[in-house]
Order: sequence, then structure tokens, then C-alpha cells
Amino acid sequence: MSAGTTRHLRPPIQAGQRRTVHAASGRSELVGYAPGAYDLFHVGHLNLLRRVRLQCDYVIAGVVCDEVALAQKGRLPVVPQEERLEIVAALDVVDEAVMEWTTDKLATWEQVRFDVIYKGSDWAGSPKWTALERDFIRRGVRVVYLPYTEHVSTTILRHHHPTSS
Amino acid sequence: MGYTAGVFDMFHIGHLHLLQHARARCDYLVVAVTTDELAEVTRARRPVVPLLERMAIVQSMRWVDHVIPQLDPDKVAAWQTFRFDVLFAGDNLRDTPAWRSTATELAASGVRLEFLPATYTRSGHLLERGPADLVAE
Repeated sequence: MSAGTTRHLRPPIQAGQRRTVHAASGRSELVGYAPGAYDLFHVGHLNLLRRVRLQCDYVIAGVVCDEVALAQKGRLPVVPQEERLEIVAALDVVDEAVMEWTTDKLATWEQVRFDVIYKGSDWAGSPKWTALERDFIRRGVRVVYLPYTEHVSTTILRHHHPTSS
Repeated sequence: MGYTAGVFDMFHIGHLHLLQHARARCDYLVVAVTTDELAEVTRARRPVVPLLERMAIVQSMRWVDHVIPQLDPDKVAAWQTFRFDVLFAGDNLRDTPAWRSTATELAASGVRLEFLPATYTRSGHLLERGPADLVAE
């Protein structure tokens, strides 16, 4: 029985081999950051984090707090912030989950120090993220847009959730 | 080796805590995720999230070692296949006759039956089908 979990092992650093230091994080591992509300956790969220896992050595999921989610989406998430954080932190593809208390992504970067930030492709070309791209490039951070596969949309899950009626 | 089963529809914190508690009480956790068809029979409604997606999410949890689809609700039959040492179930089932007979049969084979506590959300709202998920039957 071996098909249960996914493990991502990295080859050991050989003697004499140079460790790459990534400028933005200052770490030898490439640190990827994937912010989101992760409300009503579904396979679309999981697939996005799996893609991040494939591209980075260390995956940090940023879970926006209820207040920030309310400010950004105009409504509170169905699932409270502590529960959203705990579920994302429990994923084997995630090394660390942090709560995002601010809408200011640069302030978040100051604290988290990631090399790549991942965002759903629906944000590519938006004025906010185009400006952010410029700010991030100056800090050595790449912005990568990933396709967001919503097999079961949050709207449908929201409709079926016991607290929705 | 521990074994538990459930529908795990719309994965929530109650599911997560059950898996965590179960894994803390064994070294290898097998989770059987109820198929859409079986859930339709036992719960009289199809899960919102299809089987493969529910399995993918359960499998992505750190505390889960192995995931299989649950086609047959019979735990004794499952034991004959997997030979687990402990069977985990939600504690709301403790006194149901079906579980009593299952417990007796499994105890005869040396299997421990452990009940895990129900989980509440921050608001104190008992999550729908949280631990009850572990029954499905």
C-alpha cells in the first residue's frame, strides 16, 4: 500500500555544490506564496496548490482573514478564518499556512518573504495586479498567474452549506 | 493500522479533526470514501461533491496514509480485506444496534472500535454530517 500520500523529496545538496540563494526570500529554497480565501475548500483550491508545489521548494498558503475577505469580496466567507487556515495547513502540499491580516500584498511580502506569488489567471491584466507586478519585480518577486479550475464552484457549495439557509 | 469511512462531502473542520484524532491513535490510517452511489442509497441523497474530488481532498490531508473508495458499508468485509487493528467511528453511533453487532463481530477478530468526539464550529453549530459522516450507513 503506497498510493496514499504525495511526498516531494528533494535531492540532497552535494558537497561542493553551490546553494542558490533566492533574492526575494534570501533562502536557498524557492518560496512560493499562494494567497486566497480558501472558503469552502474544494478540489479547485487543491489543484492550484498542487501546481504551486510543482514549481516551488517551499509552499506557503496565505489565508485572508474574514475582514479582508469582506473588504475584497463584499461578503464574509462562510467558513471562519481559523477553520480556513487550519484546513489549508493540513494539506500535504503546503509547508506553511499564514493568516493575511492586510489587503496590502507588499506589507505581507515584508513579513512572509516569498520569491513567487501565485494568483488566479482571472486577475492577470487587472490594474491592481499590473501595478503590483511592477512593485514586486523591484523586490525580486515574480507574479505567476495560474488557471483556477473550479469543478465545483464556491457558489454551489455555498448554496448547499448548512449555514446558508 | 487504523480504518475509518465516511462521505466527506464539502470537506470541513469536523472532518479534519476526525482524521487528526484517528491518525493520532494509529500509525497508518486508511480512509474509505463513500461512493456517490452508496451515499445515495444510505443517505438518500447524492453528495454535492463527486467521489474523485472528495477522495482527492481526503488524500491531500497530512494525516491520511491511504484512501480507497467505499463501495460496501460492511465493516467486517472491509476488515477481511484490510486487516486493520482499529476502526474509528463518530461517537454519535456508539449506541446504535448496527454498531453494537459490528463491534461484537470485530472484537472477536481482535479489532478495537474507537469512537471519536463530535466537532463543533466556532459558533457552536454542530457541523452537519460531521461525525455522522463516518457512518453513512
